[in-house]
Amino acid sequence: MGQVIDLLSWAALLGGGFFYVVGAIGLNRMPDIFTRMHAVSVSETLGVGLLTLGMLLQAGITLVAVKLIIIVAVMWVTGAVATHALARAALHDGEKPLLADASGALVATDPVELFPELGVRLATPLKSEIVEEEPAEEEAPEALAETGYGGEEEDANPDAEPPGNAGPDSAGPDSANRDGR
Amino acid sequence: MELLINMVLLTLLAAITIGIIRVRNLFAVVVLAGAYSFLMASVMMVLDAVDVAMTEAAVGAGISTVLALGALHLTKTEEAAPRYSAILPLFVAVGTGAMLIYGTWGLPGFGLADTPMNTGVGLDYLNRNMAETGIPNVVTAVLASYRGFDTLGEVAVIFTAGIGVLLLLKRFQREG
Amino acid sequence: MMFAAAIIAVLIALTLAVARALAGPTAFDRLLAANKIGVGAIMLLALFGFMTERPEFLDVGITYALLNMIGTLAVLKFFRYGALGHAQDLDRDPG
Repeated sequence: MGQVIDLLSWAALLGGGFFYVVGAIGLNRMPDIFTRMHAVSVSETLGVGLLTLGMLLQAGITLVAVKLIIIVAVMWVTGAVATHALARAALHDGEKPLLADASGALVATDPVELFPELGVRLATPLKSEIVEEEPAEEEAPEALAETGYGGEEEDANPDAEPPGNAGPDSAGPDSANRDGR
Repeated sequence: MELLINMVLLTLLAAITIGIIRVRNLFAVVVLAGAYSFLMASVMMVLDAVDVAMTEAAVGAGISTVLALGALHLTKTEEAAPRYSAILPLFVAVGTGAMLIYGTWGLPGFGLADTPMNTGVGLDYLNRNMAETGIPNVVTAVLASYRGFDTLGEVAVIFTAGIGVLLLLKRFQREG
Repeated sequence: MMFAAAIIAVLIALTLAVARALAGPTAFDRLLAANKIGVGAIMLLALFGFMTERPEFLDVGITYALLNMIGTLAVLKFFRYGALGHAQDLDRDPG
């Protein structure tokens, strides 16, 4: 049993080391930032995963195994987030991915020209980036107060009167429209 | 194996240092400094100084990166060309380095048991620690128990430094 | 022995990543390489702990993983907005 586990562990560690080096070679051989990201993701998921599997098999069911699992979980989650942020920042900064043109040659292409909706998405701020309009400090209370009062008065009238009017009023235009059509 | 790891890591550290000197873009310098920190922490780990490795990673790769970026916001991102010739600083650096290397010849071998640091007060701490403090990690016991007031002073210094950095990096709002 | 083989693989990968970090034409390339160096440091730490049969110090690896993320995101946020503060500060301060 121990030998079987050792064998599996060997296989996992060697496989993990292989994929880890493959990712590093890809990091150097790939032509632009986006393909390099793709290469690194191989080593950061499969490579790290297999290396950890090899270590887990050696550790058995211990506290060490729990720590290893936590490390891998954190790395898988944060690695994906960091890569996503990197890609978005690179696109936003105007990095142009190398894409094949009609003849098959690699050309730096602006992705926004190919996919206009991508430009819209890049230009639209994320929900977390939207700046809430903060009123200027001294004028703020008055402006707020004025709009507050105005709003209340305007609201008050429809609220107070409508019970009688709302029905006929809302029905009136509607029926008129229907009649007209 | 340890020797191999240390050789590779130290070579990489030297390469990154040269890279930091050569690169003029300060963003790249910040990023390279972060990578340097992680490699340095690995060297510390291999040398069995786990607490130093932890500190190196936290300070070098974590807080230094953030603070350097905060400082970068207040300046340009391209380093200015040096105004003076680098010969005199190079001479001073090479001289200091040579003196330090000469100094290492006087040090005892790495990890020898019969050196003053391993036979004197260190051994004393090792023997008395468990009975007096009950903390299994001797480094922690020395830092937090035997030298508690010293550590308290260090914490106060770091706190002051943190406040100073925050005040320096705070961007003053324009009036009107 | 098997851990030694894996450690050598990680060291090779670290060397290649450092090469990219030094060469990388854009700052994003350097950042990607630095991120990979951070992951390599964690793997090296874990494997070395297993090789010397003292894998108790893996807690440090968790710290490294979190710090790696923080460093990367801090640089990226700086790229995107030119500052580390909140978006509101940016709007108010032309600096």
